[in-house]
Amino acid sequence: MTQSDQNIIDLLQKNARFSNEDIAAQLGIEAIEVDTRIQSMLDAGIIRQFTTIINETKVDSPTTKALVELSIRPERNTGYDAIAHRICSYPEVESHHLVSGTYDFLLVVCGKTHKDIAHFVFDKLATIENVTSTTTHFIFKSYKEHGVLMDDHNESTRLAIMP
Amino acid sequence: MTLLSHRVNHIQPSGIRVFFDLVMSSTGIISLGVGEPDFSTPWSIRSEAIYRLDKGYTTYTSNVGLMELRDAICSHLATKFSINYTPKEVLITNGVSEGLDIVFRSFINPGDEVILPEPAYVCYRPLIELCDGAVVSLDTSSTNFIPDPDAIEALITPKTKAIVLCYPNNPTGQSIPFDVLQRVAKLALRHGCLIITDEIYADLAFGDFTSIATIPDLKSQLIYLNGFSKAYSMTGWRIGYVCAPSEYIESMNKIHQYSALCAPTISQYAAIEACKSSKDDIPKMVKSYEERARYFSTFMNGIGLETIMPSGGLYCFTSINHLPFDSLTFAEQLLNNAKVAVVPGNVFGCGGEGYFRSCIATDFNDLKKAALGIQQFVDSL
Repeated sequence: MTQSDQNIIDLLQKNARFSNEDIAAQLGIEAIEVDTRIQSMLDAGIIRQFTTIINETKVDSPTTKALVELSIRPERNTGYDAIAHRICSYPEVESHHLVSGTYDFLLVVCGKTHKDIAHFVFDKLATIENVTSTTTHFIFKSYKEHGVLMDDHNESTRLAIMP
Repeated sequence: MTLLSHRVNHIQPSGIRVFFDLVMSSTGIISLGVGEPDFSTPWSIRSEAIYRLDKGYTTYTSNVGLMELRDAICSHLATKFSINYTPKEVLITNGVSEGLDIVFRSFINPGDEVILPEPAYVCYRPLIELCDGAVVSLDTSSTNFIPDPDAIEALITPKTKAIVLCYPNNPTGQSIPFDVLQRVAKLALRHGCLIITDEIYADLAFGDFTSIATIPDLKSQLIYLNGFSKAYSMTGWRIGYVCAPSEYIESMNKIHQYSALCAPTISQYAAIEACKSSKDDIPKMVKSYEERARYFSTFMNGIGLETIMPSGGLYCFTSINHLPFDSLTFAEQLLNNAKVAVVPGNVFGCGGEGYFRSCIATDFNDLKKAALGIQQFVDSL
């Protein structure tokens, strides 16, 4: 990765809707170069996806989410990875991390209702042979996601004109 | 008959006042007329202020400011800019504005001349005139807004007391190359005049920046000013500082102790925290300013409005010399027709007429909309 790649990533992480021209003008390079660099970072798997951060409290049918802690008995040859791959394959699993501490996997699980998530944990996760315990924390409210504050208290108090 | 003093009557009201009222009464505008960062003060700084307030740190500090803060400032200046001062050579002020006021009041006798390269921020001229000093303006617009040392020297007379420098500059965004600063330093030494350097935007330089304060021989004739407003997004906290030989600090403190007593205590503690914990915040903010300045200057040049890419700070200064307007009329017409507010260049003194200043510390989408609004307005002429 070059410094130019990093600069492009920094801008896209702030705003994935920046056009190639906008990025090029901010970085002082050509738009075609931005296009080429983004494509090569997609090909290399550095950029995985362009996505959107939603304030779930403002949509008509908000997604219900829960943090699920899993304790795992790792497998002899593949450790945590094989079991992680199996868990990740469920579309209900939004994110999945191996963490230090009193449990092993921390998942963010999504569903339409609390009941959906409860069923998923009981029926799909808890029944996996290597899963020794589960703890589920339903998310009531998210204050910040991916570095973005979810509230609207961002009204500028700057004076419109100041020499 | 007026009860007001001749001095205050002599001061011209800010040239932007009428335009300010016009902008404030307008709705739905995008303002590039702002004069401060668009980041909030980093949370660790705000949190420290809340903690100090909670614990009742609400008394005066010593007139010169908290020793811990002066110490932290000296470390910052030495580490970042290779500028060497000791805490005894630092006076904490209510922003650089108060610092400038007491500097001018401490050094200017009636009739003294002060050389001021312009365009420049609006406070220097009135503050000098309040001391019955005479501003000798140097128009830098024909030299890419970088003062020519020979031109400065041509303005020096036996009455010249000081040369004021403010680089990276508000409104032009330009910095003086170090070899030029060395020549300015030499002529100041040769003629025995003071250099007053306001480097409030130095932390926001886009590349390497070398201060005139790094020239050791000049130290006895140099007054250095800086502050926390721009670098740490702390404009409302009012913390600046003056660095100078200790005997000068003691003299300036005589005015400061009577007119201001001390800088706000809570803000001083917040500034200590800024020095400790927010060093990593500045490069991120500077990168963002640089990207937006590059976007805006490239866009303006692309539509035929010459704009030199700034070397630091928050502003782009754009030429409208070829358009059939003076800068105030342009700003008014742009506001009325494109709903975009900019600052007319004439308020920044000699050489500012024929330009407008845009603050690039503006949300990118708004900056883009404003740039397109300027393009449509100019195309419609």
